[in-house]
Amino acid sequence: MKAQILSVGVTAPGIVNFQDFRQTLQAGEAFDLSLPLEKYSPSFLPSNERRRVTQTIKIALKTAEEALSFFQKAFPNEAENLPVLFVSKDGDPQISAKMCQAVSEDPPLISPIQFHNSVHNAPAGYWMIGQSNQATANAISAGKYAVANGLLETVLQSKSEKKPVLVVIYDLPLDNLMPVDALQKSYVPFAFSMVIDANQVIPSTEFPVLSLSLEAAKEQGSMEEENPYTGVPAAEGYTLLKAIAEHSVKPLKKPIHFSLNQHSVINVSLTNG
Amino acid sequence: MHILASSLVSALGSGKSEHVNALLEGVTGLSSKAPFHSKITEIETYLGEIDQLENTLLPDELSSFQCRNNQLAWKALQADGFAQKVQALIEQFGAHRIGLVVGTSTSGIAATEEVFRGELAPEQYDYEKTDQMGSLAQFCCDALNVQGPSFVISTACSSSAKVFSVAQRWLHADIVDVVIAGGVDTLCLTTVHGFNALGLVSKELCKPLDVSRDGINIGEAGGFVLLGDKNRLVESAESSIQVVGVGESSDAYHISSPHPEGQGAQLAMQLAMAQAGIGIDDVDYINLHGTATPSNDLSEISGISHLANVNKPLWISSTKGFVGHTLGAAGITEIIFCQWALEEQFVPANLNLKQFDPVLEQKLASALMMEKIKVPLKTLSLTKELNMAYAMSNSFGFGGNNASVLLKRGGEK
Repeated sequence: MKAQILSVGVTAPGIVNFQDFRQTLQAGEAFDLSLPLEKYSPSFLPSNERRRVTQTIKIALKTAEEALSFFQKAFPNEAENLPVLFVSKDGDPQISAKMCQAVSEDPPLISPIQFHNSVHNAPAGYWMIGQSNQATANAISAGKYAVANGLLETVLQSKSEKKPVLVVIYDLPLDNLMPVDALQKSYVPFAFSMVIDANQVIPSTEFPVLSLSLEAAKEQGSMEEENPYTGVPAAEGYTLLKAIAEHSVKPLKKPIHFSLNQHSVINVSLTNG
Repeated sequence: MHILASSLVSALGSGKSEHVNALLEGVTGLSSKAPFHSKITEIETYLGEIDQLENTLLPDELSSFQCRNNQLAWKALQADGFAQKVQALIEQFGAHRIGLVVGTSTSGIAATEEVFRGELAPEQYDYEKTDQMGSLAQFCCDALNVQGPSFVISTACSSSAKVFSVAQRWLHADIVDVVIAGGVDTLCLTTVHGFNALGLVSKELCKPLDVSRDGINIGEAGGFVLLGDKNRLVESAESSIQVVGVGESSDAYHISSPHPEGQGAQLAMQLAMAQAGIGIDDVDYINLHGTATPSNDLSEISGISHLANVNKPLWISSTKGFVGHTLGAAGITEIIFCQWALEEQFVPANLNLKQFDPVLEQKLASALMMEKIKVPLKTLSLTKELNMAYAMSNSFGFGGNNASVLLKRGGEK
């Protein structure tokens, strides 16, 4: 399965955007995970909606906006109103925790805004409103297998809709209120996005072609690529983003494996078309 | 894409015969005195609760998944021998050639609520296998030993309708031979209090399309279908029903209110019909999203009125009066209702409708559709002369997320 990458976006502590990410790599510098996320407000949203978005929704929207803006500048004649796919393991961890706490109190009070922001497809909903886009909007969770399932679904959806598709894969750590171990609360957020077209190869673009193949999982995971962002599932995307950023100077020697589930992996390689 | 088998558990019962009997007789599963009411003493409403669900036992090897949502998934997988049919397909094609895609809006969040309320000890709680949004797919795959691609769709109340679109893509790309598609959503406090905070919960039985409708009754349900499109599979299928169209759209209007003219609803229905290569005049029955909130029913009927003039009768009804609004499971519940309605040739009643809302009537009249629209107040059994071939199910969710799924009865017509 092949698909042209048309643009890329990324947000994490220490990564402002894809250009910044590439520059840090080129300079051989380390990513500073202690930095706060860059301040962001989704200016494309009507003010009523803009006031209501949470931290989680902002990360997802910022990352979506980066990939779409680059795509629109680079390909002004390409299809508008792209279908979107938002992939996240836990959705909005802060709101979920707050709501569970609220229903344990007397009286149990959930705010209406909190409730409608709690749906897993809230970022997708806000995105479509802000873009006046009536296309298909999907929101999925594949647990820890976010990257493999997200990429596969994007490529298949692009094929079936015969259009490029915008995918955003984002995860935040679980909230401090949650009754889980401290490790899952200590991770840093990570979000990345791509516009992918499975219907054509564009040799002139600055991004490579993504090539996916499915196979049975091997006993030992052979990929030991260094990843400073290990933690939330979306952060697995770091190795792919790095490979994309370095494709022209340091092409991948072997495919990257992403687990699709306990039993299979997706091999991802990058080519020039 | 053919429906090879299905299974459903809701407040009406377990499996096809209990559901079809209740639908034919017009018996509701909603109650104002369900056990869950004891947890929400401050809210007066009707609920579609599944009796004794909390007593469903999971096998030992799956016990770490213990929560109401996974208990319902388990119960639904056992109904009508569904799990055995999956095992037969695994033997035929291999576990890696079976995909699984399921919808839910709140997964097993009830388990986290219980920990916060001091009803469940933290050491007996496993977030990743209960509340975590992807856990339903993981549970079902482990329960069935399915090894193909799998994930959860969570787009609020359209979740388990959109799974049909994923199934189409997987089968078309030939990465699987069979897809298990479905949805499970169970009663939890965040949902009931959340909808109540939005003023969308009715104190009475929900009254879709009625002039005095004032909100939803929340229900719970779990359902699954087996989907495939290979000839050898279809020959052995119990059902002759095909999924001929899936349409998806966004309102791009408001995060929790539907578009007043039903633009997104209209688009989803049009896309489903276009994929099937038919028009509204070919559709015999639309199972409405029909939640009985003032805004949903207005939006949906507006969307239908914009479709076109109908030259023959079009039955429409909401079955929310039977099972309540089962949220992330509403899609699969009502699509299976459509499957059974086509198989057994009946049109389910729109319960609790006393006076059709004149505003809705006006919408349909201005499109010259009022005379053609038939809303059955009692379930209608069809005949050889008066039969139906196409049924469409609508599901719309928060975030303006819409899906319509169109089914066709095989054979004649």
